[in-house]
Amino acid sequence: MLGCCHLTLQVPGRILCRDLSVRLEAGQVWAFLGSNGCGKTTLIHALAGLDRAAGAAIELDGEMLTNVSRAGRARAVGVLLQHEETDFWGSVFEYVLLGRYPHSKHWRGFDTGDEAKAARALEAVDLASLAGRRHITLSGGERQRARIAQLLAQEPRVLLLDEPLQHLDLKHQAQVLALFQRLAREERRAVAMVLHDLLWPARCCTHALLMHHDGTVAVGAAAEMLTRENLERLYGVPLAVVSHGGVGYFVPHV
Amino acid sequence: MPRPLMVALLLVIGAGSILLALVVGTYPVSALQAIESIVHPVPGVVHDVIWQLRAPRALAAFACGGLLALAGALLQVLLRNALADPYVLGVSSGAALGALLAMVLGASEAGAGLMAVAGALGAIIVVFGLTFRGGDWNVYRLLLTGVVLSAGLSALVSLTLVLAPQAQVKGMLFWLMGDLAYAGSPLPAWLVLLALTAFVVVQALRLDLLAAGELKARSLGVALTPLKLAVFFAAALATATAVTLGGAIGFIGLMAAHALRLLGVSRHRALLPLAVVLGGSFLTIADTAARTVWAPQQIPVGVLVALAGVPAMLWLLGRGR
Repeated sequence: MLGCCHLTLQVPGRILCRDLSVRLEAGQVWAFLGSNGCGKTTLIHALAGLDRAAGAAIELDGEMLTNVSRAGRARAVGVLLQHEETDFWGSVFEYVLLGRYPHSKHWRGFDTGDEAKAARALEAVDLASLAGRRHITLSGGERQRARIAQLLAQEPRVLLLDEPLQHLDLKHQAQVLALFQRLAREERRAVAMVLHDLLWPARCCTHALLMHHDGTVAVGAAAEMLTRENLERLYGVPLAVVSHGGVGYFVPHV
Repeated sequence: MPRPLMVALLLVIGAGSILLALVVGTYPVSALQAIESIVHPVPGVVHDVIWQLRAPRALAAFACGGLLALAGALLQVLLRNALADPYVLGVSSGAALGALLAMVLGASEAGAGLMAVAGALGAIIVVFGLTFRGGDWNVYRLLLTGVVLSAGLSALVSLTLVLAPQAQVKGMLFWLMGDLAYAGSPLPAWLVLLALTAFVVVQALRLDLLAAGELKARSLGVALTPLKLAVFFAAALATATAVTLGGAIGFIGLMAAHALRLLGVSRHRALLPLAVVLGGSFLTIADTAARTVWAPQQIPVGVLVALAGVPAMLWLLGRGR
């Protein structure tokens, strides 16, 4: 579905990734791993078409993303941003409803179908009871779930998630990860998420992308990528492996 | 407050404010007479008072207030700052400088009006030219440029005031504080107001997204630069039109949209038209008070707007959590 071909990303003075080719296909769940500042967010933005410089190297269904209409791109590719620049002045429900924009006829506004989808998205993240609350009164974790609900309402085929678990308690971390897995498995969507907690990738992801600080990027199936050697090199910390139920978990030595 | 109730209430207040402006004044006119004169115009004193004196001024006040409220609301979205008002871009300072220079040079009222338009447009062009670079338009640079330009122009306005002949200073102060006594025909302002309101209602959904953040708006497929340009020029046009009509009336642009948000309206499809009605009726009522409370002495309406609006706004702010 969504991919990039020989993509090079740079910020002034540093190359974040060099000659990266990767393809997110239906049914796959990708973990994007790397230490702070290695360029994971920049890569997510590039894949989402938010980075003009990278535009030509991104392909959606075999077509250059820059040639896809804005609304078409937003219907196909959704991105969960790590930061929101501003407070939203309206209610939680109105916030989630904004996700329906690419599907709406903008001069008419949202219809009842859009509202039903926004309501369902709120239920999926346990926020239905807060639908009428003002968005600025939400806690950090509730805001994160509202963000996820907005993305669900958008119904993209490719979900690019920049730190989807930030601010979430353990219950909701497990819940939203199960939700994303289900979207990939049952609805054949493609999911890519930036994760920091090594508890999850081995359990939830089918593929992994490891971004190193020197601009090299390794991609492949999760089972091959998520080894102790690879992760120790990636994060620069010694790791121990704890096995439980046939799955290995990585725990840092401190 | 339930939405339909608030819409109905604001529409009643809007119509009521204009009717009030027609009725109240030195020459007594009853509400019945006023309505009769609108429905069945019969030549006479009542007809002249209403059609020649009060209606043009009431309509000018309403349009001016509506335009200021609209400009303020649009700039609050564009700059993503709930404290933005129509004057942050230096438009009013530019208009004020133009009008004052025209007065010093002894131009007629029409001449001063034209110079105000020229000053407002000049400020808009300078701010836009200094901040727009190709595809990238940084709203913080826009805001700062506007504030800095505004400060510079205000200094020139003060200089003009100091250097101007004594006799002209009072007229200038009225202009600076905002005054509708010399407002020209309200027709062009109404055309601008109706056109802009229709335009922003069509764009309302995109404005909702712009208010939620530029990156978010782009990720959801909004063409950002054309939208920001449209909002900027719509706000600039509204401000320039309003300032030309009534001078630099402050506070309405900041207050109208903000008050509605505090009352729970946030979607721009409702917020913007309601802000127009609220700002328009507020200024109409304030102007009616300005010309009658202390009659025959007239007070600059800008002063009354601030005197009445500030406590109301403080109350609203204190009421919210």
